[in-house]
Amino acid sequence: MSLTYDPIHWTPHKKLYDRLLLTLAGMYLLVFSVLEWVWHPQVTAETLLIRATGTLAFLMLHLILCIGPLCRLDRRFLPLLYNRRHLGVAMFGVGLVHGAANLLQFHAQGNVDPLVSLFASNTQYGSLARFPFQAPGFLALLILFVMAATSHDFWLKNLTPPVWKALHMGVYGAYALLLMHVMLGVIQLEKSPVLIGLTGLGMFTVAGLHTAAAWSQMKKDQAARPAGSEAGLHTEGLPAGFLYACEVNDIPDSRAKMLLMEGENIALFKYGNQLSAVHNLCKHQNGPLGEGKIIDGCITCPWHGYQYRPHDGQSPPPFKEKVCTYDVLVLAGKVYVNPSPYPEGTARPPAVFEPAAFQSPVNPS
Amino acid sequence: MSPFLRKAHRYAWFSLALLLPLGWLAAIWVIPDDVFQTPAGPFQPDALPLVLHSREAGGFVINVRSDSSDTKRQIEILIKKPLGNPNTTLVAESNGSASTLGLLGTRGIRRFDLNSLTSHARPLRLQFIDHLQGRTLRTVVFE
Repeated sequence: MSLTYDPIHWTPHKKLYDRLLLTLAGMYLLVFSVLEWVWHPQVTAETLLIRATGTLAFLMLHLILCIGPLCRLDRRFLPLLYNRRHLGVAMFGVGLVHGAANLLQFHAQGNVDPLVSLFASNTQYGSLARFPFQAPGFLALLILFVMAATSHDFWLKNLTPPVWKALHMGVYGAYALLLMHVMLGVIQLEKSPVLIGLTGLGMFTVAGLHTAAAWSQMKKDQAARPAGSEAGLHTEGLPAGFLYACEVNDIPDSRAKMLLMEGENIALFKYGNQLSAVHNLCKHQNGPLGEGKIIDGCITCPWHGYQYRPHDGQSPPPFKEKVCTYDVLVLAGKVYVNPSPYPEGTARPPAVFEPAAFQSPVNPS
Repeated sequence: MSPFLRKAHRYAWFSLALLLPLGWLAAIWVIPDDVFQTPAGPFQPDALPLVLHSREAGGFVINVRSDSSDTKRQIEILIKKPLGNPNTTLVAESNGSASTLGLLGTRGIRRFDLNSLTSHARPLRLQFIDHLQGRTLRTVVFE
């Protein structure tokens, strides 16, 4: 969390992450170069640069695309999510070197504008076998440029998280373009079964993980809808607006149950013998607060660690982020929530239950 | 993520999980039979000592080289500036048979072994072909 827009808000964790990233990228380039020289001794320095940076950028993009679904499938991968944007910007930088080297090598030294040459030197757009494969690569680089340029929290804040997230979904289009860039380019020339196999492995891994995560999320969404005969119903004797949510014992201690009630996305947290409900979307990147846990008395977003107090939805001072709150009621071990939101940061008294009567299940963490 | 964005992700990936393998398979399906990149002959690190013929054409210098006893011959091509067609392949043709020598690529010197079919036959026709665009870019004939 940060109060100001630093170019980069360095922390020891980020420094370590970036050092590790640079070291691994450098090692990859070194190993690739040595192997390329051994296997293809006639290779030129320009070709080596193009191949090394192209393969590295494509590999990094696969890693980036795997992080999101891995985190949704298994919480243990969440630390990888924390600085994913650094990895994304680094990947764009490597891809830019690859693209610029190609443009200089193949299109910049003639008497035609390099960009015109890129799109017009081969105009067989109607042929799959002879498709000008550099065009999809260039378009993908443009998408990645927009994403890298808007990656800072300044843009996240000003574009608003939903618009920013939607914009950054462009990476999926970029990946599809790059896959075809590779398949219609180097694969057509090299015809290497190893390259075809590796590209297929990467594609099936990325698509498989995302499909599995989407499937898992569908099940979570279904679970977020209150179940049973009382699901979403008003109970006689309760104040107006309260709907049945779940049993007290359904929620592990210091964790939450995510609820979808009357169109509201709610995270219902249990901590000690209290229950509080807040809006489920973190103000930072719309991360799922309900998948986080209570740390130091605060709801902690699993994506980037943004924190909110459960009773009023406010970040602890000096931070200013706020989310909506909801009224919660406990009656005979049953939890009821009023899905009408209070303005962001409104303090609401937690619902208190008798802990001895309602033992919590073991905390999964 | 908001339910709307989650749904958008879901639709995007259910679609991509179908479309990406189709694109991958289609690209494998259309891989051409001709070998463009793999060198067609043995690697030629050293130039043979004698230059029998030399021709300058555009951005190329083309030398036909031989050893002292003229039992081996070699085509040497000096590419002086980057090619407009980076996938240019060199094909030698004589006595009605054609033989792919290799890919030219970027600036520098390329040497290709002339096999027994074409080494001494006349005329020796060298064709610069871009297989991706399906065009013969230049033909040089040694009479």
